Amino acid sequence: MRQMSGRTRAIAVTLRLLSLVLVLAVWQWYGNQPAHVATPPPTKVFPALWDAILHQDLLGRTWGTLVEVAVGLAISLAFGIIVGFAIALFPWAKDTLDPLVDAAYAMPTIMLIPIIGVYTGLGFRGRIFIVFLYVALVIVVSTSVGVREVDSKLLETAHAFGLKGLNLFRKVLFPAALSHIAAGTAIGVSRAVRGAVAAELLLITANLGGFIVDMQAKFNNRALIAGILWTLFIGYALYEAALWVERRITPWRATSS
Amino acid sequence: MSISTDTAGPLVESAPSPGRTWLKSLAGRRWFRRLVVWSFLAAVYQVVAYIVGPFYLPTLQAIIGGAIDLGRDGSLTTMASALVQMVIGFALSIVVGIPLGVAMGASRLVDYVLGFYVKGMFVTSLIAVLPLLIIVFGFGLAYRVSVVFLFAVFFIILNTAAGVRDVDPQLVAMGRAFGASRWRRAATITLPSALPFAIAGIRIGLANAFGGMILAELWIARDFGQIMLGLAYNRDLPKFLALLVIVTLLASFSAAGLKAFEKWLTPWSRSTRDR
Repeated sequence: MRQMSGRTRAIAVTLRLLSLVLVLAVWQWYGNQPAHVATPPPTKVFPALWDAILHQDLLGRTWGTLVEVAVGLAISLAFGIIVGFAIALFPWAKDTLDPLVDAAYAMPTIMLIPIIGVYTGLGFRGRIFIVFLYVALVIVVSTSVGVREVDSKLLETAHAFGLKGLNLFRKVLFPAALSHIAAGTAIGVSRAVRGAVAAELLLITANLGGFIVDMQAKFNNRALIAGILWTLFIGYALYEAALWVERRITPWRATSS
Repeated sequence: MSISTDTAGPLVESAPSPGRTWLKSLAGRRWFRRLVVWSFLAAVYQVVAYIVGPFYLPTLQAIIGGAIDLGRDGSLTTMASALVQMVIGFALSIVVGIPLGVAMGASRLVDYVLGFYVKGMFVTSLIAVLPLLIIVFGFGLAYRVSVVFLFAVFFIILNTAAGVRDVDPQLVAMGRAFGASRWRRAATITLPSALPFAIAGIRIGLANAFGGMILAELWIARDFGQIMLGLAYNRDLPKFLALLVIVTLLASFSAAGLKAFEKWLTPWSRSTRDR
């Protein structure tokens, strides 16, 4: 966007707004067809959203989901940074754990949900564990990539100045890997929301996912679509917030997105 | 460790003091490290499985037995038909994703207008959309295909767009200076540079397509989903874990296959060197 001239930018913003209007208009037209009673138009969905916020504790449910995201993310960060450093720094760990990380990446996490309750319980702990499963690997991989890509000149300089052990970690390795870790965390946030919602929908209904399941069971499609839109919006807003934090933490690295 | 002595021969020849050195150079071998660590992990798993009992963790031989049972009772056939549906959705996401990605990468205007939605959908929890997809498409093929499509397509779009954007502007300027036409430049400059990105996007998209397929099945609890949920509710862990291993192996081998294909097709790419 930076290189756009003033006029192009004005056109772009207009087009984006127009596209939004178009999407809403098509949705309104589609929802108003008698055949599509099941998908109500925006003029019915948005009042339902407002109603859910006022009367059905949608904000409280959102808070519950956010707590899961935060706790799961914190545990994943602690675990992922340690394992990520281990994989990057010890050749034994790199050689042996890399294929396992690849396989774990390929494994559909969602398939664990039906059997996980026996180990973790169906409550808060189970949901946190699923968030952890969704997020931890991303942190592991971004940390190990970050550590491996530390500038070799930096390492040589540190070596020449006799930095070792904890000092090397604190002064060189960690700050250099931080930008990758921050980028991984931003992705991790969006995955954490996914994990939390997946757990709330499939493990046991609670919070935001519970709202969606409730409304589906009551055939209240207005509130259902309102809940879906709200959930999507929360994920998007959290990701944008994470990107903002990432830029604040690592201002020396201009992010592309 | 009888296997280790097989390769020890030539190493000993060049070593001055045979006793320790071959062990040392053996420890530098990747396969040897994997053998040691993986058998250790498997042994730990086996011991834990014996301690906690089959209700919590089945032993390794039980899981292998479960895999054989799955083949016998036809579960794998049901899984294969779920995989076919996944492939349809995945193919659709490639067909739609690549042109959209190219358009977004080539034009900043398109990127600004379309990218807004693509990035928005990319980061949100698409799983919440499933009830809506069921309302619109029902429980049939269209629903399953649409879930897989949504899970895979945004990676393909965004990666392709990033690849087209990544083209070296100096190369483009040179192409222009030598009078290469627009199409010639697209074929000889943009395509080679964007291809590795696009294939990487397809690879990540495929991993997500597997996740989408499983999710779609679990959510409606029919066919393959019914099999998975039935095994989980009956606590038939040997079969369930065998199924999990089979799906994971399929997903990781297809990803590795795409990676090898990418390396073979675009040996000039630097993105293939590391992950």
